Amino acid sequence: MSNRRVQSRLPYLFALLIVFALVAASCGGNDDKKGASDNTTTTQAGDTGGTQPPTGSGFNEPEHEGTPAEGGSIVFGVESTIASLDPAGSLAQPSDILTALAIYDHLIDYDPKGGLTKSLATDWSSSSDLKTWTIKVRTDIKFSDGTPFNAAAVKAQFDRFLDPATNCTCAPTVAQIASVETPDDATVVFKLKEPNAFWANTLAGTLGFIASPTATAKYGADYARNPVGTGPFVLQSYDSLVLKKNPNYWKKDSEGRQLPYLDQIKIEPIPDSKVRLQSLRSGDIDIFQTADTDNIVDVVKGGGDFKVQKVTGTSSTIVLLNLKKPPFDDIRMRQAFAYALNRTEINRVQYQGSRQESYSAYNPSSPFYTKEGEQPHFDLAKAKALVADLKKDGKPTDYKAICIPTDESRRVLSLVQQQMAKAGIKVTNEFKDQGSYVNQIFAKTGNYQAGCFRSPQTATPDGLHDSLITGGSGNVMFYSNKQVDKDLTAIRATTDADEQAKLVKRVQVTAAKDLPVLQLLFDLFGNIHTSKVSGLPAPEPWSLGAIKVAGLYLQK
Amino acid sequence: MRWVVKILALIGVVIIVSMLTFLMTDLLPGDPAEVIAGSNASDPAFVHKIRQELNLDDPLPVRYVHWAGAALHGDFGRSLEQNSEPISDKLRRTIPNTVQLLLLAEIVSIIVAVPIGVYSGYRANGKFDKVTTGVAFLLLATPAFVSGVVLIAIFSVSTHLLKIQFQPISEVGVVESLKTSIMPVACISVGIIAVYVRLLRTDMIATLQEDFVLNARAKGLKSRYILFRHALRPSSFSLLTVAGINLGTLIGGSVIVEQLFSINGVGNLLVQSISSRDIATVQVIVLIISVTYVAVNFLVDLLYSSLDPRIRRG
Amino acid sequence: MADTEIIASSVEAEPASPDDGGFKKRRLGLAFWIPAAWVLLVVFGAVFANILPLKPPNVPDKCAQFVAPQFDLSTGKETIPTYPPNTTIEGVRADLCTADSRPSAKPSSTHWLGTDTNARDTFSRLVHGARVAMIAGVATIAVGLLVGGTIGLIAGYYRGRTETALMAVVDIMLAFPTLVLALAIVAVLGRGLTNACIAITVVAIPAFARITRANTLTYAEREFVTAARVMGAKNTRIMMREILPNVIFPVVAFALVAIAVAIVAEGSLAFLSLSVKDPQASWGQMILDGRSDIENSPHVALIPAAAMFVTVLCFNLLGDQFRQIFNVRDAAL
Repeated sequence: MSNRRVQSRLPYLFALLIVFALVAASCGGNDDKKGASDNTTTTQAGDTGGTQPPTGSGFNEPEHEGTPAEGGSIVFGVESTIASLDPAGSLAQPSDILTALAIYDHLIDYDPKGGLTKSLATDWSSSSDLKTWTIKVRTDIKFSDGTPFNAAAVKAQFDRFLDPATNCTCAPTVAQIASVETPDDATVVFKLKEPNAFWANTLAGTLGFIASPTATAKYGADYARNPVGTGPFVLQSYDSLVLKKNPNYWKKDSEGRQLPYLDQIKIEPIPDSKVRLQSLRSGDIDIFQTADTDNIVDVVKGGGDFKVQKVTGTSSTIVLLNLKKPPFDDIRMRQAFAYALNRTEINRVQYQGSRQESYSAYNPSSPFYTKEGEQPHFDLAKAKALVADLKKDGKPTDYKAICIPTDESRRVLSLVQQQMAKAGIKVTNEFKDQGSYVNQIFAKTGNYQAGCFRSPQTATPDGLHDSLITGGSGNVMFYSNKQVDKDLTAIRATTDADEQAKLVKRVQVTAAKDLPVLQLLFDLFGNIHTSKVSGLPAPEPWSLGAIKVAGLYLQK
Repeated sequence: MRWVVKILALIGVVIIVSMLTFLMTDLLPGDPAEVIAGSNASDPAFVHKIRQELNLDDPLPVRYVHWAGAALHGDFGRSLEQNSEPISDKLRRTIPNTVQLLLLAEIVSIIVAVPIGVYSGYRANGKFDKVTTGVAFLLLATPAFVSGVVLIAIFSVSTHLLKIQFQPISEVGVVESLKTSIMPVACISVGIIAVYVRLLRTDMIATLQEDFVLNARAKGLKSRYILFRHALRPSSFSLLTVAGINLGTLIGGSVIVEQLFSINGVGNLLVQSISSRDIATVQVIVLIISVTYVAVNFLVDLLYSSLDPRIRRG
Repeated sequence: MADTEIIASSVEAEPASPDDGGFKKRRLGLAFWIPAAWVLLVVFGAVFANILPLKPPNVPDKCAQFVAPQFDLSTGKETIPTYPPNTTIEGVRADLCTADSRPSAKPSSTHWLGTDTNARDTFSRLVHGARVAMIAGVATIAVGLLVGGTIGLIAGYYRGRTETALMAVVDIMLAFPTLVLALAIVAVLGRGLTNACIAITVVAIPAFARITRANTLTYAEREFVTAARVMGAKNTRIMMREILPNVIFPVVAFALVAIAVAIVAEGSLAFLSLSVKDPQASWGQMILDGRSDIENSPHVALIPAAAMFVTVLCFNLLGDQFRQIFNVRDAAL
């Protein structure tokens, strides 16, 4: 199910979740914290395994063919118009994320293996109680409008996030911050209210996109359409979506060549995925991003000189259930739904069997996966029995499902509707445009019964925190379990990787019994391009397939 | 003096239309303050502040006056979404695309319909006429999205022939933009050409039976001369009237076609705003479309009465 | 529906000829019977959809998941699953399933018109869609004719202030382009077939008011009406017995064409996802569904498109024939 458009409004919760909770491969997230004593500098530990994509080669791999020509310009097809380029906005659509990655730099970056590495920040460490984080930043860089980048700029950014007038979607996340101080030009100190072993990961996500304080002050509410960062490209205008090379970009490639290679990237929103593929074939665009499995299958099948970078593994399509309202306030109904759901049929009929069925938030290839944490598999007999039971008690067995109006979601929801009907559950499908859809689900008025969504990317043990903890920013299911709360808080308060793994597995087992959320299929994204384009890095673990564009080039 | 009366009537209609638009869209369910508050919608103080800023608690007539007054100054307010954008910016991006499509559709329709219609009327009931009558009838039955789907089916196979994705002039220049406009314009024009051909034909037949034509022939004037100098003018009046009312069909066609071809135009914006309950944008768009429609019909009416001596009254 | 008027007037087969009063009978040729036959077929399907031995319109073919081609992304190979004889999976004989049951399948003996993207039987959905089309087309126009016609009749007969008032309201309604008004109404009421029908009816009423009034005006001045009045007949009686029988012909001719326009309107709204709710079939919704797979399986969208095209064409033809038969001449609008 394609929820990419929903993401544009993935407020607080999921956007944040994706951001924080994410380290694609390695580091049980621990490499950056040190063990015992106070503020000694940290270094990157090596990759400790972590999430690998499902069996089979060719997923999540960088591409580097030929030699980069100097200059050139490409057109990048994206799936939606850009909603906002403000880090205080939702920044959850792949199109928005892609453009943001071009305009901004992060405080902390992910390295190709999924560990954290320096970017605008040169160093970071935390106190032993994990509540005070000291970040050292560079001072030799300027934003593209000339404003110098320094600790004050970072503080200005977080002050802005904390200001209620900004109406930041990140409000629940930055609520952890007690204070932000800048003892000197190159140091930022975050004091958190609760211990959080994963704070550095937050700074490697969308909150870490540092915006020019001059620009945010100047444009105010319109900053979302006039973004200014330190990144490899500069946005010429929101209307034309042309990105021009930043001549003063500070990063160089491994051979010391100035980045970026390209002179210009034009972002072209093309909502229809089939038209996007046609535009590539007819030469109107050079590369495009997609979440449409058909696109990827078509290109892999052959025909034409095109390449696909396949991205998968850490997020899935899910169904959110409202535990506060009937019928899903009854565990039997949730179980009936789980048993009646036939993921195999959906995968075979809609996706030609090319997707991977998902029964838990963590991919089986992840070190944090446990078989006991899997949700019930398809069992029509059990579903029927539960429904009969519910009917006998006079409890409701019908519900309304809502989703965004894409072709894909329409077809999948239709199929699910029929599967439920076999078990005796009557479903009405309703489709709402992304904006109002997200508002309905996340408005905390609990005004839905079941809704489709995309899970957060789960590579760190912290991945489930915001969605499962009582009152969490992502917990729109109104799920509350004391043991789970305890475990999730404990995960954040320790740097012991084994302990974290044990706890997160226990959380999964509990959640599999309570079923607040149902997993469907692991997501599959693709970056499809002509063979002339290369230089695609491995995708960011949290970016829904969007890639950093500084290294893109046209082959000589 | 009739002028004055007519203009007053026009203004009256425009005012009533705007009131109806405002009233109607005000009935849209959903609380705009909550929509704008977005993630902070659960905070009642925050929502209250927004209501105050936007004067959402004022009675309907008061709000209408504010809205209408601002609109007259070109201030259409901001859209109802979290990253709210001035509506005039959205319009600035979308109106040129729709206007380009509609203008091209109208021009193409006239260029194609006039020679066919005239010749059909001239040689009424002849072979050419029979064929065009049949074809026109068929085309009349083809709604925009049927022809759109058929065209896409045909041309999606060989993608090099026609570009499917529309691109505006501002981005790719006139020639490229025209190339990408072919399909959507064809869809819209199909039905309209049929209507124009039929109309011209009927009118032409009637006119050719008139005395003054007989007179001209008796004088020995050539057929073609008669056709275009004398007969076409009265026929063009019907075309003119119809062109005005046709704007409605054009706009309707454009809504569907923009959806089909993913064109970033006013019709598409309208449908999106309806889906996302963006009342403010829906209000503005419906207002603009209706006012344009009324104004164009008024102009046509004016033109008609001043051009046709038979209608003109002292 | 000002645009309907244009279509209606241009559908006229012959230019206005000197009136010979009343109506002249014409022979009903093929041009009448063929479209009439199709319309009857559609109506028949619409009425009896539930009784006819059709496959369930909303349920995917049980075999679909067993015959859909499977694609392995890592190896790049596509396979069509095969099963050893007598395999039963989930209560279905998988070995007996044929490729005709896959989603977007071409017409076959299993599915006469093939399947849609969710492996549901297209023919069955087409027939159930006919029901929607008839409700959206005929029911709405019938109401529009009744209400609008009455308004127009009253306005045209009584003239004076009644007429000015009524027509002022009608003209305001006509100031909104058809689809825009329908969209606005559906936006307010919400999605659904009923609401779409309400929207179409609201749009149809002023159009019928306009045309009925115009025709009433013509007849209201005639001698036989004056005569009836002189003889002391009440107004209502005159309207019903003298004017109505004459006015009815042009209005019905108009109505036939209006039905075609209404069917297209519902189709458009369904295409914009503003009409029927899932999983109900509507021709417009089927076209939207087929649009997503148009490159590989154009027939999924083209079949309902063809159905809509032919139905609309037939109604137009019927309207045209009606005018010819009764030698209807449009009064100036």
